[in-house]
This record gives sequence, structure tokens and C-alpha cells, in this order.
Amino acid sequence: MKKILITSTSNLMPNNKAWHDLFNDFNLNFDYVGNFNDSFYTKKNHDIFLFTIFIQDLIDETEEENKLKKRIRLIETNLVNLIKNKLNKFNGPVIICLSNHIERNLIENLKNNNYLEKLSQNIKKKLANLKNNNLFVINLDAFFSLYGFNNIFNSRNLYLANMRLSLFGLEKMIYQVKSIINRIYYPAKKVLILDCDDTLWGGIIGEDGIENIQLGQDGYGKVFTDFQKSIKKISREGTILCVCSKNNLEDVMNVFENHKHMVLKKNDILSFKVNWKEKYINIKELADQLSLGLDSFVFWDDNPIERAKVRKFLPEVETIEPDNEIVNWPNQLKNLDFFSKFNLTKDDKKKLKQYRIRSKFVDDKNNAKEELLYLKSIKLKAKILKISSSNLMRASQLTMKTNQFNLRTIRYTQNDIVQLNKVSKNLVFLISLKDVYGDHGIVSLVIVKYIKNNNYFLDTFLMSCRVLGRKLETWILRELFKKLNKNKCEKLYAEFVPSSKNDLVSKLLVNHGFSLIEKKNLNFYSKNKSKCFEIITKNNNVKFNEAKIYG
Amino acid sequence: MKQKFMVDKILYDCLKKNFPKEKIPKLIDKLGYGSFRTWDSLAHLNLLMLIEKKFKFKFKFDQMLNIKTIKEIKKIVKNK
Repeated sequence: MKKILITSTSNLMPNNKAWHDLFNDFNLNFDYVGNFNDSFYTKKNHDIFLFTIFIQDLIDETEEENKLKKRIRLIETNLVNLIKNKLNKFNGPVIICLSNHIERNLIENLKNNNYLEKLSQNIKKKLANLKNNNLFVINLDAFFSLYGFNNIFNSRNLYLANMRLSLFGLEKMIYQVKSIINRIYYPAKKVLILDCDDTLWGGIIGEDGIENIQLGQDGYGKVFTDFQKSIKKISREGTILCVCSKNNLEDVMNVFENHKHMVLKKNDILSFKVNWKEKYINIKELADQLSLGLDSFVFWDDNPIERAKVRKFLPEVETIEPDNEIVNWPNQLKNLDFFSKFNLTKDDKKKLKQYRIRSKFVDDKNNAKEELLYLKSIKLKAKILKISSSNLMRASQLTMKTNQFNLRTIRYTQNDIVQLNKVSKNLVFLISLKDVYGDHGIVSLVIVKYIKNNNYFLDTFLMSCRVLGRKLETWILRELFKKLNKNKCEKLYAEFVPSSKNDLVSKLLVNHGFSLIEKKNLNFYSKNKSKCFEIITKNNNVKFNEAKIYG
Repeated sequence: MKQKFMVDKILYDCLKKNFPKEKIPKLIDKLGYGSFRTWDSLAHLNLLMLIEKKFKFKFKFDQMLNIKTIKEIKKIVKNK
């Protein structure tokens, strides 16, 4: 269980029922609540650092102006330095919650002398300039204002327990923190599945015809246009769109190709599942076609019966409950946080193209008679890349996002990878792949840790699922063995840690000559249920025949 | 009669949630600040806030300062 160290400028009611949401999944350490200075020097072990700053706690607004200005400068440098130092020596996520709300009357609000707000903005700006991927700054006030400050802050609690928030406010803050933490450790959703009638446009195309559907006109038509714009934005940031509708394919294609107010074009949609089959069957087919887990899918449909069916048969799929008022849909979609990514990598933007390639590859391969001959014909070219600053983000992203072809499913931050790479005998490298279907970019990561006596441990071996079926894993192992032999390696240990999704690689090690061994008390093996393997690499006669297609 | 039973039941649940590690006796009237080792000043406030939420009302500032026992809480809840 991950440990969260919680610190703040004033009380946050340790062990209150409001924290229970986090209790179930995390170990919470409240030792430094209200005592943030010491928390930065603590030796207590923790994985996540949570720091809540109420600027109101740090400066007294009623102080004389010159003194106040001096104090503000001092606090600003102090706080930023504390956080900067923390980031330098701490590898896990640092979450900063910031609030600067004070009561001011209308006239005061007109003046440009809200020093609390200025201080808060300066801190935010300086923290943003650090450009650290482990730093997450939450602007609490923006979120609190949705509920009204009167409901969030509570003077009684302030004078009673030095706690600024009401119980409701505390609950809302914790909810926000929980969503951020979830998004740090769980990957973003990858596919949005959309219905057509009364979802992408108003009305039923099969009955109303293309001239009469609501799209683009004032009123409902505008709403559907804006909803499509929100969808388009998500797709530009790397989410795949699919259409799943009970309709005639021609009718739907007619709208996509010929309706002048369609924001989404035919090319924006990866796959059209327009037929009269049950939607959960179509979604399952899509998951197979894209080799993606069902939990990467989000389903949006206006019809409660369709939603209920998908929920029943595919509970892993995130089924959205659309707002009763269609006018709220564009904002509802924007507010869903599981599509957004903290950092956009170049690969995210190419995603749609890559999955389209994947779809075509699967079709072609199924049609070809001789698998190896076919693979040889598509001119596979793989390349090994060393870790560098330009591919570090992608390396970490691969560990975070890859679930299926992943032997041990260990998540690493960028910093972790830098540390692993620093150890000179460790082998850390990435693999990029090209073939006639296009440039797939960086698709695989291998981390081999040096143990001792020329023994090594295969810590991480993962591959993006969109290049499966190309025997790339065999090629990678062949190259790895070459490298290990160069380093005079004698024995390579490996491990398969089953998760709910990585059954795909359960046979991988056996198929490549590794032998199953009993779990010894070797500290690199995980404590969970797992299968342990070893292989003698020195003078081994494992044949990597299938890797020959790579030349 | 029915209402009295409800108040007891809700207060019992609040105690259970606020002190998950403690065994809560069936008769709760005599319980109060300090009854368990974990019932310290902070836990006391946490309990009062939880009770506010469940009964949908707010204690006044001086009530928060002075209430010590479940019996006193019951009195206030019934007169709200």
C-alpha cells in the first residue's frame, strides 16, 4: 500500500471520516498536519507528498503595507525553495493544493491590492517554471467556487480547531486529491465509443432523413455541434473515436460525408460498428481488433437501455451517464478527467494513425497464408535506443500504460528510470520499430538489473500492444542475449507476475528457453504470487529462428 | 418511541464510523470525551462534525466547546 505524507499550513482534521475515501487504498501519515516546515526534512518513508497551502495562514492581511510586501517576498522564496529541494531529493509525486480565498467587500475587490492572490499566483508561476513532471499543483479555489465559498469555508471550525474548511469543503478537497492520485497511477482511457442518433445529432437519421436531423441550427442543433467540437478536441489529444450505432451503415455514412455541419469527419473515426448487433458484442470485437483491454473504453449513449446492457455485460467499460439536459453535454464531456493527460507526448498525437495501421495489419495478416513469409514481406526494421532526455518521458509512459505485454507491470517515473540507468552494469534500452505500415515509434522497453557474480535480472520487459504479432519479442531477446554475452553474463533471472491483464505473456519465457525454478529467497523477486525463471546465457544454444525475419 | 430508536441507531453508527478500532457498547448514553483511548479532542470534533452531517444541522460554537457526552448530544439533537 502506498504511503501518503500529509502536511499543511493549518489543521485538516486527521482521521476524520472524510479521509476514509483514501484510507481504503493508501496509508495516510498525518504527523505533519499544520507543521509543514518539519515535513520537508522528515526521514519518514513515503511515496506521495501532499501539501495543502492556505495562503491565509501565512500572511496577515491587516498588517501595514510595507511590512506586508516584505513578508510576501520572503514567504514566496521560502515556499518555492522548500518545494524545489523536496523535488530534487524525492522521487514520488508531490501534490500541492493552493487556496487564497479571503472575504472582501465589493469595493475592496475593485482595488488591485489583493496580496494573497498575488502571492498565490507568483508561487504557481514559479512552480510551473520548474517544469517538473512529479509536481502537481491543484488550484483549490477554482474548484471550490463551483460549490460556493460559503459552503466550503467555515469560521466556526477555524476558531474551534484551526481548520479553515467545513466538513463538506474537506470532503471536496479530498475528492480532488484522490482523482489526481488515481490519474498519476492509472493510465488514461484510450477509446471513446459514441452512439449516433440523439447523441452526435438530434433526431433519428433512419426516419427523419439527413435534411431533418438537428445539427448546426440554432437551439438543439448548436448543442450537438458543440458536443462534437468537445469530442474532436479529445481526439486531437490522442483518444481514439469509434461509432457504435444500431442503424443502416449507408445512412450514417451519408451524414458523415455529406452533412455540412458535421464537425467530426469520416477520418476522425477509427471504426464504424454500424449494424443491428448488440452493442456489447460490437465493443468486444473492437477491443480484440485494437488489442486493447476493455477498461480502456468509454461508452457514451443517450439510450438508458443500451447503457444498462453494456454495464451488465461489460462492467469494465466506463459507461457514462449523460446529463438529463442535452445543453450540459459539451461541458460534461470536457469535465471527464480520465481522458486528459498531464503531459502530451508526440506519440499521443500520432495515436489514431497508429491504431488505424494496427487494424489494417491484423486484417492483412489474417488473410495471408504463411505467417512468417508474410512478416518477412512487410520489411520489419527494429532499432535499439539508449535512454536519453528526449525519450525519457516515453520510457516512463510505457511503464505506466502497458498492461498486456508486460512481465511484471512495475510502474516507473522518469526519475526512477534515470536512477536505474545510472548504475553502469544495468542494461536499460528502448526499441523502435518501422515497417511498410509506417513508423511505429518507440514500442518497447527493457530493463535488466545487475545482481552480482555476473548474474542479471530481467526487471522489465514490456511492449506496446499495437505491434503485437510481429515476433518483435524474439528479436529483442536475441539482441538482449548478445548484449549480455558481451557483458560476460552467466545467468539471467526472470519473473512473470500475473496481473488481471497480462496473460498474453504467461508463456513467453518458457517459449524462449527459460526454465521454471522454485522461488528462492532472492530479494529481487516480488513478494506477490509469481513464477520465477532462469536461463544460462553463457554459451546457450537457444535458437531465435523467428528473429531472422528482421534480417 | 420510534423516533427515539432512530436517534440512538444513528448515533451508534456515527460512533462506529468515527472509532473503527473500538468496541462500542450497546448503551451509549454514558459514553463521552475520553471514554476510549482514541477519543481525544480531535476525534471528539470529528465525531461532532459527523453527527452534524447525519442529522443535517449545525452545532453552535459554544455547544461545540461544551458538549462532552452522548447524553448531551441526544438532548440537542432531539430539540433541534
